[in-house]
Amino acid sequence: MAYIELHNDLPGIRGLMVYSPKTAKPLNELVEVLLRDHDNSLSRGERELISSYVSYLNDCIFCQNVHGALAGHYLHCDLASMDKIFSDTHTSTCLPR
Amino acid sequence: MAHIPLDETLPGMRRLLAFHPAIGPVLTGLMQVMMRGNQGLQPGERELIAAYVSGINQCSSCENIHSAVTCHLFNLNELELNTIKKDYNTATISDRLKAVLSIVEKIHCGGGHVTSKEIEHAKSMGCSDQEIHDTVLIAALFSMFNRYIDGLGLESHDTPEILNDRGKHIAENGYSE
Repeated sequence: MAYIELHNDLPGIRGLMVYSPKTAKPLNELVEVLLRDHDNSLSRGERELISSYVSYLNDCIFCQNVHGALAGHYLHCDLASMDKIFSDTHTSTCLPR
Repeated sequence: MAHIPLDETLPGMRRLLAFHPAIGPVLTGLMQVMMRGNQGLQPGERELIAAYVSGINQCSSCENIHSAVTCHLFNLNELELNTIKKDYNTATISDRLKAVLSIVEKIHCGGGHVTSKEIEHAKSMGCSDQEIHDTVLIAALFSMFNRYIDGLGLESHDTPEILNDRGKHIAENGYSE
């Protein structure tokens, strides 16, 4: 349960965004540019993978799974394959760069 | 020198804002909302959070400029602010502000390090839910900026005079320009 009263039951950051729409707007604008802008040599899948991996390293399950699911959609990987990539990034044959 | 080519004639963070034209305006907009919100935490308190978390994250680029802004907004000299940053528990600041900084100190270690103990203490000192929300978000945001700047190898060569002038400008005008 959140430490403050969010007045909604939405999961993870979604609850925070509904609680504080003024801060949610620029945060979402930032994430939209970072993760979805087409003018980027990193594919959307690669960027979602970065997001999911750093969330895994930061022990944030919600972000790891949401962005993991998106990465899986773009890269045609399931979450189990994603976990394997995360657990051993040095030997994974997926996405060598 | 930065790990990627940047316009080194621009000061501080502006080098990164200029690098990616689509990201710069978005980050600037985010800063204006977070640091100049007109409810709850005052701008000086927001800048103190930014300066304090940047200091314990060891990002001198961010710590220096936001310390300068804090000094202008709170009418403090550098020594007085350093005393607060070094040990806020014994500094001459309100118990409410000490409670805010105790949350920030935990955010520096990681979000999961914040416990109900710090939150309930902040509430008992008069912090509203919105103020607690903004404390966590500003500390998290600046932890992100600290990593962004240090991760790309940016160094700050600002003199005390430059920091004082820019600090005064930001204190008076915010982040919208």
